[in-house]
Amino acid sequence: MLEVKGLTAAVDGKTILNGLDLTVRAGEVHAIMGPNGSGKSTLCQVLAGRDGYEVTAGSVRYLGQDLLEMAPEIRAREGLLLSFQYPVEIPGVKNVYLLKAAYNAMRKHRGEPEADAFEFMALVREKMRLMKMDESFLHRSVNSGFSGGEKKRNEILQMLVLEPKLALLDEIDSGLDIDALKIVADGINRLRDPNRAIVMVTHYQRLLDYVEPDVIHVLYQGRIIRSGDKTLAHELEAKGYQWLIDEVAA
Amino acid sequence: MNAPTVIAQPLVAQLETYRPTLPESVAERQRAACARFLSRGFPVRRDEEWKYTSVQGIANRAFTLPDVGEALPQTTPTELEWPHGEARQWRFVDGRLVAAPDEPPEGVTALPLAVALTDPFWQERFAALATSEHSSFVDLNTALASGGLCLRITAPVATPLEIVWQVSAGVAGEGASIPLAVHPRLLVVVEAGASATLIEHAIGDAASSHFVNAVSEITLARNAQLTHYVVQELPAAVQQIATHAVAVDANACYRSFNIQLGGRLARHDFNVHLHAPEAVAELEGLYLVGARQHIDTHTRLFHEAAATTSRERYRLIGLERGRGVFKGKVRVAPGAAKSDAQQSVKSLLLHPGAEIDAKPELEIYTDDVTCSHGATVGQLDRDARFYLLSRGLSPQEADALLIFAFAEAVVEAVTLPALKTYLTERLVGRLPDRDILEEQL
Ligand SMILES: Nc1ncnc2c1ncn2[C@@H]1O[C@H](COP(=O)(O)OP(=O)(O)O)[C@@H](O)[C@H]1O
Ligand SMILES: [Mg+2]
Repeated sequence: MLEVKGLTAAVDGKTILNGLDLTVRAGEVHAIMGPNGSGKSTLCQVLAGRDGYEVTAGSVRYLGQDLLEMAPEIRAREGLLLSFQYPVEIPGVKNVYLLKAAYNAMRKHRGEPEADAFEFMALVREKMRLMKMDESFLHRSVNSGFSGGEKKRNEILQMLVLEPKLALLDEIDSGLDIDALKIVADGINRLRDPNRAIVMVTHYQRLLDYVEPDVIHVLYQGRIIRSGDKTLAHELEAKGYQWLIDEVAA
Repeated sequence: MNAPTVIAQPLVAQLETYRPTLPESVAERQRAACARFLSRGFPVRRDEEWKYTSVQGIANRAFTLPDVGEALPQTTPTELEWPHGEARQWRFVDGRLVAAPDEPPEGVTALPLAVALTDPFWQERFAALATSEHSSFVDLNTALASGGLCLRITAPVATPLEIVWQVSAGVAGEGASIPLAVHPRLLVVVEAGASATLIEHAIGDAASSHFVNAVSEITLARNAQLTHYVVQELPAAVQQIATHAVAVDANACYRSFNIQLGGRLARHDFNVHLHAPEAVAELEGLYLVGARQHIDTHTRLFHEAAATTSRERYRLIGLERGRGVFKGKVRVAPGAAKSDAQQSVKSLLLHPGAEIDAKPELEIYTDDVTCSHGATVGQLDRDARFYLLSRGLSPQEADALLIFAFAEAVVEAVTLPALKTYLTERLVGRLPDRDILEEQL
């Protein structure tokens, strides 16, 4: 589904991703861990098509296409959706407008007619119940004045409504209390599907207890320095990153 | 029937043979205002307050003055496309009252200016708040006031009061029609504990090229409240100058919405005096500046007593090759401790030829105050835009939603549902990609 090869990207002339390789297949759940500043969010942003990053080497194939050639909105319509580490507050744009506009953009892209307003609202309400969000969220401005936990739940709500093929979740678990974490994890587990891949960036074992990954990667200085199964996460939780960094340097 | 000869001349020339336009009771004040105006003339760009706005197009142009004298008209208002809901409406055409409600709501007395000025209550208040200090346009209006309304609110009034100021195409002349110089005057007194909502809606015939020089004098007594909507949708060739002089007593709250959509030139001054403790002013404004439009507002908030509060929020959008100007002065006097003044002015430039100048001006003469102000001019927020794109919205959709949201911040605060709907529609109609918005909203 996703094949990243030797990806090198810079901001303001500073190289942040440095020859990164990553392969994700349909049905898989990957976790990316790594110290702060190692480039995890940058990877997510580059994959989602944020401008301002200069890709200086490498390639990204997504569903057989050259991802880097696609405009950000086309990537989204092709099913690549990013949940932001810091969801942006957009005062004045109501959640329900955004959901509807996004939903219809995807349908139009697939050549389907616009959603029936009634059915669409029923769908949104069902997903909101899963995320334990009340009706008032719909009419609030996107992320505006939301608590950290509300923002993250809102990101997963969008995923549940828009049904991506590849979901990138950047620190979806940061700033969540245990109840909110369970709700969010439950939402992610609902997204698990043989036809869908999920890539989660996280710092904590906690999330991985709820959403079990197939593969864990450690990102450091812009590249993946180790990949392994879920036992790697336990090791990192117990010992931190330094031993791994030392081992790789040696 | 012989049509009277229409005199069209620059205003200064017409004032040489000046005759007062209002009842004898205020004739002296009118003559004095005329004399002051003649000695000062129109403001020029050298005046700091008129740095960005030239009024040469008013000073040099030939206008005719409307006939004076008015009585209560016998007609009731006709329907506008505006969904008034329960609003009671007074309608003026070229400064002359043409329609009034059969009966104003309870707690409201409404009199045409010329009728009101036979009463000492109104005589005392005429030209008391709006003075030549503000600008010579106030004197010009005092001298030439051609009609208007005096509203006295004595109780909490739920029914909105609406004044429609309409301009006509002009007086038939040889060839083209001759534009009028119209000088409407509005006096409002909200008595202690009373409250009201007032809408001033300026509209007109698309062919109009009038000059409108309006003055309003608004007094709020203790614990009074007034929400004052100014919705300017004048035709494209009309030039308008409007001065709003407002005095707010203890614990009273004056709230204004200054919605500037039309006109060739529109300059509004809001001079708000918070002259007693805990007086509050909330000023909201929105401009959509289109091609060849010049929209300018100067607000002056005078904190003259302790614990007075002002909140100001203006949103300016440059849509095309036009110019928007905003200057927000806040003056906190030495005795105004514990006052709180906050100002937020944001501008959005959507066209390379659009120009916006927005400036705060703080004069603070006491230590114990909270003041904040921020003025930004820019394009759309890049992070917000990317967030929308990352959800599959096209760049056009993202921009349309963000521009709408920028303006909506002010419209959202409108508390009258019918007016809010009306303004939202107007807004959508003027913004780029309106079909996208119509679909979304
Ligand atoms: N837009 C940017 N401009 C400048 N530096 C950036 C920008 N984005 C990220 N960086 C830098 O790139 C590095 C990686 O950041 P990031 O991808 O956010 O790391 P992580 O998500 O792994 O904590 C950091 O040193 C960060 O300061
Ligand atoms: Mg990060």
